[in-house]
Amino acid sequence: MAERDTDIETLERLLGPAREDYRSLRHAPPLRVVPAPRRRPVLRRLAVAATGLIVVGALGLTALDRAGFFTPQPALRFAMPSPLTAPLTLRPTGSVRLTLSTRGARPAGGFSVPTRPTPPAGLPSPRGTRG
Amino acid sequence: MNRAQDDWDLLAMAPHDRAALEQLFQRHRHYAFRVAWSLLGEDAAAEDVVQEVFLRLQSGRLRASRRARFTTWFYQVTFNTAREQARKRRRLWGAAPAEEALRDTPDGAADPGRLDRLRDLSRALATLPIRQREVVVLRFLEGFDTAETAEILGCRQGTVKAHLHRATLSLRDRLTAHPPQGD
Repeated sequence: MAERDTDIETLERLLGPAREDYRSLRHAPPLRVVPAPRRRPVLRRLAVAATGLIVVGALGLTALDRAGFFTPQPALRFAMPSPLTAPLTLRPTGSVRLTLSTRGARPAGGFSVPTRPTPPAGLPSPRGTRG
Repeated sequence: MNRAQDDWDLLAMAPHDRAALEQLFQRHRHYAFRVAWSLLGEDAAAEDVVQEVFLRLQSGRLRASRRARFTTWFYQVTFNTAREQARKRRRLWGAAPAEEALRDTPDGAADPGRLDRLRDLSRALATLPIRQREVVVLRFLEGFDTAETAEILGCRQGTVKAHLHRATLSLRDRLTAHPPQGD
């Protein structure tokens, strides 16, 4: 579907009188465009100073980091006693071994040590036939 | 220096020279207004478009090639601004066509039928989709040929012809079925 010669003629017949009125529209408001305010030099200087401070600060932090200023010292790193590096700092505790003297005694706690049943005479001990 | 070259020179000076901007405004404001009015259908919206167009000219940030005709480029800027204005207002058509415009016309009161004809024209344009409306405005009302219309709208000439044909059929059917009351 493309424009034909008759299209303009048809539009001329339909809207021709209004076209002259349209072209006579000569209305426009006065120009209200105002010149864009120029940036004040004070603001420009502040912007330059702030940019410089940011750059210097970033460089300084990088230099301090490379110098190890932010790395923890070894003395501080191992301040807590370690059983590997300082075994003597642990308090010695004695080993608890069940002996015959404590076998029949009732513990002070809320549980009791089960007693082994005594086998009848003549039967071998269930614990060991090896002796 | 011819007129088009002079317009380009004025455009180059506009960001720094208020007089150049004012001269450019006096030359082209009427074209910008009537095109914006025909697309938006409102005096106030068209006035906003005119101001926005020249604000952009003053900013100096618009891309322009001196190899093109200044008029073609200026219409491109106006159409783009009018489209953006339509999107902002979320509508394409107003309800007060040409009342203020005719009031400012020197012989506006000489022919009382003019307001009716312009109102009928705006109502007829309002029935068209935006692309067809743009083609009718440029091709028929402004008198550009097909190649210039295609350049302004950024499309092919075949597209312009197709839109104009569809718009003509639509307007013929509508205006034949419902003839305007103004005449």
